[in-house]
Amino acid sequence: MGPFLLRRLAALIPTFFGITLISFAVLHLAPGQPVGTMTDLNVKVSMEARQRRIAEFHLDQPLHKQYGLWLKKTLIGDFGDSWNDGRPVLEKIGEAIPITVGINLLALAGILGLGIPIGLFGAARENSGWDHLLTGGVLIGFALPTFWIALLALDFFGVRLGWVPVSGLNSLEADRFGFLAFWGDRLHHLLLPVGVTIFGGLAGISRYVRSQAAQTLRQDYIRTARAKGLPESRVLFRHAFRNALLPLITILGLSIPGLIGGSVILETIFAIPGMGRLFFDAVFMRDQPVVMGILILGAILTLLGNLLADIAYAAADPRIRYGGGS
Amino acid sequence: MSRPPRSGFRSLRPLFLPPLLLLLSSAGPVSAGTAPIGGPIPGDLLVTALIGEPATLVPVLAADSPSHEICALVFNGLVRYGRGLMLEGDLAQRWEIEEEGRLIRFYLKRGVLWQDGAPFTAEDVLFTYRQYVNPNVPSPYGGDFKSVTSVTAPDPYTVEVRYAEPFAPALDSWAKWIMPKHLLEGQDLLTTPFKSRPVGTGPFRLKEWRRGQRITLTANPTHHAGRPYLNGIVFRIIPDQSTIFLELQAGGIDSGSLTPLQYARMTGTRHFEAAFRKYHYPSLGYTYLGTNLRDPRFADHRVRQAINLAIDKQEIIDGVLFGLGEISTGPFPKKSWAFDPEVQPAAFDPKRAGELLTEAGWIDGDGDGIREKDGRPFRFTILTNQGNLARKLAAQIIVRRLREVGISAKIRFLEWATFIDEYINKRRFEAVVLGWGLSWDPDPYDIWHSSKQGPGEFNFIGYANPEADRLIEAGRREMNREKRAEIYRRLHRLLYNDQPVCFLYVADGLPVLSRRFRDIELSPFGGISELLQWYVPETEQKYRWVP
Repeated sequence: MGPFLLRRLAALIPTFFGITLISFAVLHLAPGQPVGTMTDLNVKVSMEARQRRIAEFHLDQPLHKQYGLWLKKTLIGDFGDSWNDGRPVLEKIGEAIPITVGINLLALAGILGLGIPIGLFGAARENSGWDHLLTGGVLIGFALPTFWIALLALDFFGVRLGWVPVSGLNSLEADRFGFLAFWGDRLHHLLLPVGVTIFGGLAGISRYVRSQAAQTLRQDYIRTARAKGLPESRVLFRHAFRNALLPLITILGLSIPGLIGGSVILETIFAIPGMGRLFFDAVFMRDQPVVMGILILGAILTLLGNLLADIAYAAADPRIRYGGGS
Repeated sequence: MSRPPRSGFRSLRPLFLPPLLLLLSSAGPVSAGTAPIGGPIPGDLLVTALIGEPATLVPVLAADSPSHEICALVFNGLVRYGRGLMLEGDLAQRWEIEEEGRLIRFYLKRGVLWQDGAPFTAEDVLFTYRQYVNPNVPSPYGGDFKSVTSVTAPDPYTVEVRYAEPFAPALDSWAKWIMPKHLLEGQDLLTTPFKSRPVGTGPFRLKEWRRGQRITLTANPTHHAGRPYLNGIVFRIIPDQSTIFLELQAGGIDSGSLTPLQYARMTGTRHFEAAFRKYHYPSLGYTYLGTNLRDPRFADHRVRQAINLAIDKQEIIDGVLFGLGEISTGPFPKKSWAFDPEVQPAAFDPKRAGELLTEAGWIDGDGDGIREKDGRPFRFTILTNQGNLARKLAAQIIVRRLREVGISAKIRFLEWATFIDEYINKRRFEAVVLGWGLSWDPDPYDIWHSSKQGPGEFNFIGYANPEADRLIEAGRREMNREKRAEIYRRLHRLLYNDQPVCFLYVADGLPVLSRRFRDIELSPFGGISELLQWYVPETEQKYRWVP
């Protein structure tokens, strides 16, 4: 395990630099000057003002020099300031990440909590009426565009019934509430965005679990288990499902970088200041420090997620052993 | 689709101020709603939507519209626009213009306090001016002070500004917000904490900025014109237009600006009408079809006339804006003194358009429905930016109408930064659908003067007419309002005859406001000063807590 880990870690370094180099280059290939969106077609903005911005951001330097300058700062942990509002990139990301991660964790819990039982149920009662109903339900959630579901849900639950607030993270007077009331208010506000995310995400997990479990149930050892007279519940829970759920580890590992990625569409509709909007706005404003900051974070988390998934696999499945002789 | 009644309310919207704060206008003051016995009382909050997060609240750097919305309430200029597009004193009590416009002397109001209690003096004005012209401060607005030769303060309440030559828009440039010297001197304006904790002289002070969520302003008790009745204004950051509309219906916000579709089709419910007052008025800006005048096809005056006659502007207004707009005839707002009311939009006349094209040598020789000249068919591409539904639909209607007179146009949508940098700035376009927002002063130098065709400058269509240049230059030098107006009216007529661009429409601003707000005095430009008078009768006050 030790040498394996070291080799994997070493391989991460060139991958990481490759990612930053490609991201940086692609960002510069995109047409449009970063200084532009703030000042373009504003009659009051003079040419001199624009030239000053270009010099200030080193945009008049050749690309490799710009990358060098950027890399030097980034390696010592200085992600720079946003070109749009001059605030430190880390501060901006630091504000958005807890919100997005919070929502994503709630949504992930919901998706697993509902998706796995739905999948297992479908496998155990394959092709029953309930199976078809649930499958149909989750596929509808998957197929409908999120923005449309979100707006319909807002109109119905938020405006017509008035059960939930329409947008934002808290009520205006939430600061006067106590601790519990404050977070209760926050959850109340997040009910719809999280609910819509869960509805859209159920299909993936539940269908995956269902097919895995169904396959497992056709294995010889299950037949053996049944043949020796074990009760059906024991067959399902003890023998079949444990094995069927193993591949979920990979999926969870892969979803780690996804935790910091917010949905632009949902965040815009529900007025949530999360990572999706931060990134989206930064791209449109060609706000290079913010874009690169988020990309790096994403790259690190993706690489770590993969690594963790590999390690978890090794720990969970005794047949999988890395390195050494097999 | 019937046109909503105009009810006499009209107003122009300044370049950056939100529709909300400048709700409306009329010839004279109009009191909406009835004042209860006892008159206005303090209390309640106005909760409204902000489409994005402000970038910086340092006035000299504020370039985006959310920043301007907040700054407008926190800061004051020396002068401001009052009724009838006339400049009136704000931080200045009065002013004198001498030496044929080469000297402006401002007499400042005494007893004005910054929101931290420090007195406002001429030193603050001098400091602010130095920031605008400081080459190390990347202010977008330094250009306005280019012709200033000196700014001095003979005493703490007098400011003298000297110009190299008479500059008519000079007074207008002193409507810029004044910044406090004692808080900003020696600071880097790009990184100063002031940019998120501004201190001004205005009617509201910034209480809290919850990033990405809301900005809360509270009434400034030491405001020189008196404390506003409202306890505060909460700007909730809501980037989506549909959500703003849903929040209005759910009571989450008290005012907001609607799209033409929402305004025309979705606000007719009894519930909505009972809760909100709807307004509409021409916005300060226009949308146009511009062609590249360096292209010999569009350099021909007859071709430009033909395009103007071939496009039915009313059809665009009815179809795209649901009737909520007006035909544009030139670069000045209709309510401006620079606007010539005698300029009437040419009637839709495809027959005459065809004749003009034939006259210009464009004839459909091969019978495919597209005119040719020298064997080359008349085809071109119209570019416009993504994400602007009205421009997109207008372009589609234009394409169909041009096809009817034998011109084949295609449309291409481009992301904004790409559009400007790769196509506009590099002059790689045949035609564009774009809009210009206008400022208060009518000086059109940057957009129409032939010298403004350099890289990144705004006469990118390449308009060059010596007569227009002469009028534009004369308008800048003329200090007499009547004479200046006459110059601009001639320019207006000249531009409409010349058709450097095809002027399409002026869209309406479409704000709605909760009916519980009273004494909404509606003046052509006000807004900020008017907001001071807004109040809510005690029985209708909704937010009883003070932020």
